[in-house]
Amino acid sequence: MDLLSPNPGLIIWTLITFVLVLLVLKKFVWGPLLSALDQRETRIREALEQADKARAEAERSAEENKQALAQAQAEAQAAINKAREDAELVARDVQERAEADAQQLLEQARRTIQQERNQALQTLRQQTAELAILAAGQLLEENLDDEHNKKIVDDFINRMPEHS
Amino acid sequence: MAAQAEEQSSGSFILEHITDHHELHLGPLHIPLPHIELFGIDMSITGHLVMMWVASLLLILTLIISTKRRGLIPSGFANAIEAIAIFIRDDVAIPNLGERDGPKYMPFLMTLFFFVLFCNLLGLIPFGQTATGNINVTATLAGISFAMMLGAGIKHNGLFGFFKGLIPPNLPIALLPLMIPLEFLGLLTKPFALCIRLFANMLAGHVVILSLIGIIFILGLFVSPISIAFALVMYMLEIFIGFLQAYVFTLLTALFVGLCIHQEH
Repeated sequence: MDLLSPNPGLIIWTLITFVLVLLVLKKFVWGPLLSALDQRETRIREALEQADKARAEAERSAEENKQALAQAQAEAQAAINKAREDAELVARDVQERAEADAQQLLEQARRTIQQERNQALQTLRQQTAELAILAAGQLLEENLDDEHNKKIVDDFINRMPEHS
Repeated sequence: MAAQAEEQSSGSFILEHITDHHELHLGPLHIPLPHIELFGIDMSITGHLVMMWVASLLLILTLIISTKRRGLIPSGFANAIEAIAIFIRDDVAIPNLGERDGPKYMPFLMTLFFFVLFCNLLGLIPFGQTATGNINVTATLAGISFAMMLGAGIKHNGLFGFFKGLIPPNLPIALLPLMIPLEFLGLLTKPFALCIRLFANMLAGHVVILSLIGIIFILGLFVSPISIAFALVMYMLEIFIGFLQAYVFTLLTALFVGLCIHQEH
């Protein structure tokens, strides 16, 4: 047979063969293969998207945790500050009250002392007067009983300095 | 037979190996093939046809066995098939046919690629012959591509729209008598080029290898190391060309079908 001679039989056989091969391969190979390819690509794409989503989620929750931590720290600081202020307030209050009490006690003591002293002075003055009268009476014997003499002695006592 | 072969010139020895016969040549063994005639057409089984069938059978078996029982994760040879499928889909079908139409033509393009590839490679196996080195076979394949081009073009643009779209828009009416035959010729050139390219490539490689071997018989045994070394290099090149031409045939088919679908470009 010649190199370029047409062979209608071979042409028809080639056509039949190719179409048969095409049909068989399409049914048994390309269909499953191409759908598996698509399926796998979809799976991979979905997995990647999911991974992206998960990463974003993780980042978001980490950010949230950081914020929550910062907030908790701020709250703790605020609580500490408030407690310290309260304590200072209480301490100052206690101190003031103690000072006031002390002052009051001191005042009272001073008043009592003053009273005691006045009383003592009064007593001393009376006793002194009586002693003076007694002494003067013994010295002057009789003249000292009358009204006039008693007045002289009283004047003398009154002229005595208040605080001896 | 042997005495006859010795009388033949070297040229006919080459021709003997690359042309089709009504016998299956397995080395020295010549098996006669049946002559069939249907409706007045000579449907005889020829050597190239047997080789095509062997290639088809190998193709179907290889693909079915290698891609059988697979989950989402491919293993072994299925990886290679899948890599080719992804390559043809992403670099041949989708760029030329579009995101939407590309996947629809995938079974056809994949079958075309593997059919041509297996026919090409079968010729490199001892006792094998290259069915794609027969112009009748390549013409049929090119005819199938042409039918796909016309079918896709008419399906997408309508019968009238497709032929109208062949002529560039806004063309002066005076140029129409020139452009209509030219564009029509341009349409026919595409499958013709497909047919001749594959045929000539497959034929040329074998002719070169056979010529290099033939030199031994002309010049004597002493050239055999050089001849065989060159033939070996050519053989390696043939393996590459077998893949390349299968790819080129598939790529150009996709390109031409794409051009028929998207005529505005």
